[in-house]
Amino acid sequence: MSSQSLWIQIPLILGIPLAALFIIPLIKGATAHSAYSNEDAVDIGMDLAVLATGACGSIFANDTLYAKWGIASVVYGSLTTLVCIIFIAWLAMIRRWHNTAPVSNGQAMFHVLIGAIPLGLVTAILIMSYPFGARR
Amino acid sequence: MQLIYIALIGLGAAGFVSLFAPLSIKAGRALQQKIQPEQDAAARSGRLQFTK
Repeated sequence: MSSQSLWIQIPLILGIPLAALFIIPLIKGATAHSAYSNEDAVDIGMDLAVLATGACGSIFANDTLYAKWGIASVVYGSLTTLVCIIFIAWLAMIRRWHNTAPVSNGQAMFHVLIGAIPLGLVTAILIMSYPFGARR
Repeated sequence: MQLIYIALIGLGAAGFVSLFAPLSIKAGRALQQKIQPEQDAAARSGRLQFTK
């Protein structure tokens, strides 16, 4: 896997969380009981973090990651899952005690950022495993 | 060193995605108003109504 393919993968891997970011509010907004607003950003962040937690299992079963790290990829997978859960807990705390209206655009971006960090971490591990990983 | 790269790329991707958060929320709100314009009244009465 050459580093040239990395520059093809980065827009793709950035695009998937971005697509999720737009699809989740459309689904939730279409079915929300109350007016959809910045207060729901923390829910979007939690959904992104849960998405990252779910992606950990499939990503750490990747052959390229296993060739690079061997059995240690199981440990890294478990640690990444724990990190994702910590971010979910942080967002749950925000939703319970710090999500009082009105929530500004900056706060909404911060709430989504907290949820997007685990997703970015998982995608970054996948990206970084390719250019410096096992050469076939 | 590689862990630093992973952290930087992860944070960069998260920051890039979060820049679009207000836009995505506005898109969700616009779709909500289109699909269920009376959602506030429905929520007050304790039931959810879909206009389509």
